[in-house]
Parts: sequence; C-alpha cells; structure tokens
Amino acid sequence: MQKIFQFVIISILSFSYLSVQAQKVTTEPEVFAAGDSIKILVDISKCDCKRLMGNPGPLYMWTWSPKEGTIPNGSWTASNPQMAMTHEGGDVWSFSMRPTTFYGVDAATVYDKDIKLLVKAADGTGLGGGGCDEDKTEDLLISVDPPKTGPRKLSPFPDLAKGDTVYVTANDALTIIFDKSQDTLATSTLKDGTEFLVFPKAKMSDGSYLNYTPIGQAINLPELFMKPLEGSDTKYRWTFVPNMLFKDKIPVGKTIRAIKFQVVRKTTPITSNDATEAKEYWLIEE
Amino acid sequence: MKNIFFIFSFVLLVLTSCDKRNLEYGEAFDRLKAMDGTFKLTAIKQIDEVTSDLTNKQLDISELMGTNPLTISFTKAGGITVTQNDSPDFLGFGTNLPSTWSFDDANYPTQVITNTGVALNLNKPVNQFTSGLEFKRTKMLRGKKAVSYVLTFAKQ
Repeated sequence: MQKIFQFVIISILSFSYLSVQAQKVTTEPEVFAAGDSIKILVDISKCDCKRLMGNPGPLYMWTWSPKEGTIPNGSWTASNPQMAMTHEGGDVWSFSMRPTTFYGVDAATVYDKDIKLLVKAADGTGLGGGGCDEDKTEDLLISVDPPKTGPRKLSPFPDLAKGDTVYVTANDALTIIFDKSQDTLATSTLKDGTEFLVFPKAKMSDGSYLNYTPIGQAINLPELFMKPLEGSDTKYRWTFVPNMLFKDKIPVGKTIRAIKFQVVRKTTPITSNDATEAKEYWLIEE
Repeated sequence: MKNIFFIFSFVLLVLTSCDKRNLEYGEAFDRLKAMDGTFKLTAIKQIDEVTSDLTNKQLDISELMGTNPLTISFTKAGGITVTQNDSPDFLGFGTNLPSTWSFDDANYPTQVITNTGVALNLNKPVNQFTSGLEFKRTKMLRGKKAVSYVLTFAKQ
C-alpha cells in the first residue's frame, strides 16, 4: 500500500514538473533532431526564479549541457556578449542555434545529455547565494530525443513526437501497433499468438488511473480486440479515441493526460507471460 | 504540278474547315444542386503531420465511424444539418452545430463555410461527377500542424 502511495505521489510530482518545465522553455520547432536549427524560447514570467521579469536586457544564455558551447559562456559576473539573447517581447527571450554545431558534439551526445541552460544578466550575482536571489532563472531542461527508427514491439500512430508524447489530444484517434515479431522475451507466449487485445487505462489530470475494465473481463469486450495491420503478417493494431472510450467513466473536472496499456494475448486465464510490459503514451492538451 | 497540288490542298481545306452547325453548350453546371442532399460518412483516414514510421504516414481508421455514422445534409437554399451519431467529431463541429452553409467561392469552391465558423475544406472538387464529398481537416496543436483527418461521404 505504501509503495502504491509512493508511486502515485512520484507520478504526480513528475507530471507537475514536466508540465511546468514545458511552459518555461519551449523550442521552435517543438520536435527537432539534434542537427536541426532551432530557436530556444524562455518565458521568464513562468520560471520559478523571477528576478529577471521586466528586465529590459540584455540577458544572456548560460549553458553547460551537453557541454559548454563553442561560443563560451564567459564568466558569471561578465557573460560573453555573443551569448546575448533576443527579446521576443514581454518576458520571452530567445536564442537560436543548431545543437550539434553550437555545442560541437555529435547527435548521440545531444540525445544522451539533452540541453541544459539558464538565463542570466551579464552579471548574474544579484543578491548572491546561488538560488533565486541571483539575477538568473533556475536551471532549465530541453529534452532532445532521437528519431524513432527500426522495428519496435509497441508503437503508436500518430508516432511519438517527443519522448513518450504523441501529438494528439484525448479527442483524437490514437492507434496502438503491436509487432509480435519483436517480442523476444523467452517466457512470453505473445510471439505465438494470433489474437490480441489491448488492456487500457487512462491517466487523469490528477495523476490517478482510470481502468476501462478489470483485466479478467477484457477478453469479453470486442471493442478492445486488435486486428491485423494491413500489409503485415506480424503487426496488429487497435484504434480508439480516448475521450470516447472512457466517456462515461471520466470524473467531473478531470481530463485524460496519458494512456497506459498492455497488449494481451487472447487466452484465459491471462498470465504475465501473455502480456507485454505496460507502456504509457502522453497526449497533448487541447 | 506543284501549283495544282497547292490549289487542291486549299480547296480541300476550305471544304473541310468550319462546321456551320450551331453548337449548344447546355446549362452551366450547378454546384449547389450537387450539394443538395444527405451525405453519409463512409471512410476516415488519419494523417500524421508530425512524424511517422508508416511509409505513407496515413492510416485508415474507418472502424471509428461506428455502426450509425455521421451524416451531413445540405440544401440548395443554404441549410445544413449535422447528425454526429456514433462517429467522433473529427471535423470539429463541437456542440454548437451549424444551421447554414455557403461556398467560399461560388465558381471555384475550396471550402464549405458554416454559420458557426467551422470551415470544411473540400479535399475533392464538387462537379457534375460528384456522388460524394471528401473533407479534410488539419488540426493545429500549439500553433503547428499535428494531425489531419480525411472524411469521405457518400450521397444517400
């Protein structure tokens, strides 16, 4: 029970962190490869450390991951003028770069270490102390994920845009594709199966999970059955609209933020060898 | 010899040139008439506008139509009735359903504009061969193209 409680708390905290982080720093385009030209936008009004709000500038980017840029940061009390950001209006400041070129690293390093930065005044000292009393934002993270290549056991359509996020809302169609040829676990019975179903749960805006049905009853619900993917002997698909599937179960005031699911072989009784690992796809808010 | 050939060619040309019959062009095609009627959803295609491993980036998701699919009725006078039935609202009508419609351009229509502001993009032209309609809606999320739906309708 304690473990479940801890899991729920960690899930809520993780979700909150990601949501808030996403608002503080964004990129154009939102989905990019490490070698693409991007514009990094930081909205200081949405940061936790707001001492730079309303600051007319100049403000500077300070970055250390994947490593310090080929244009050096300068010193904490005197930023390199070449690291000056562009004022986009309000409290939004931008910096344009091509990550692999700017950091002088290969794409794999960018995917592995992501981009970490903060925004600061030329002299970031402020009141000192290292926290929000200095003339800077807190540390900001831009997660950079490698393009999806190669065969996958589980994949969505539309495909993952970034991390585990699919670029659709809960009102859009989402398809889960299962390739049984990629199920290589020795104890798994899935690779020998010919009929599969999906056991879905909805992750709600408060971090709780909503079951569509108890797993023992899923085998009796045709709406959960997968069908062969056209043009493939080993792939199966299941398409649904999250808000329609869970329509009558969504508590008032809550929204679906992610779909957690397992693909299960149609058999009875269902054991752990008849199911894939649980996977979770995050949705975009409308 | 050469002159005789040219004279003969000239006479032949004159005799075979213009057809003196009066050609009738018939009535101009009435696009409003083509739209007049009830159209029932018969297929849905989803297009991944961001990224996809599927070669053509699109998937037939017609199974989502439901057993009683969406119908849209148009009248020549500009009336429209949307009956969502079991189908998802991929055209973005919402709960405020439209009651009137018009083409964005009477001669070269590319959109059906409704009084609620929903514009249906014509994915295929409306012409004398029209026995159905195809609308495409591209959904924007966070200011960029995310996903498109192509909905095919058959005239009832």
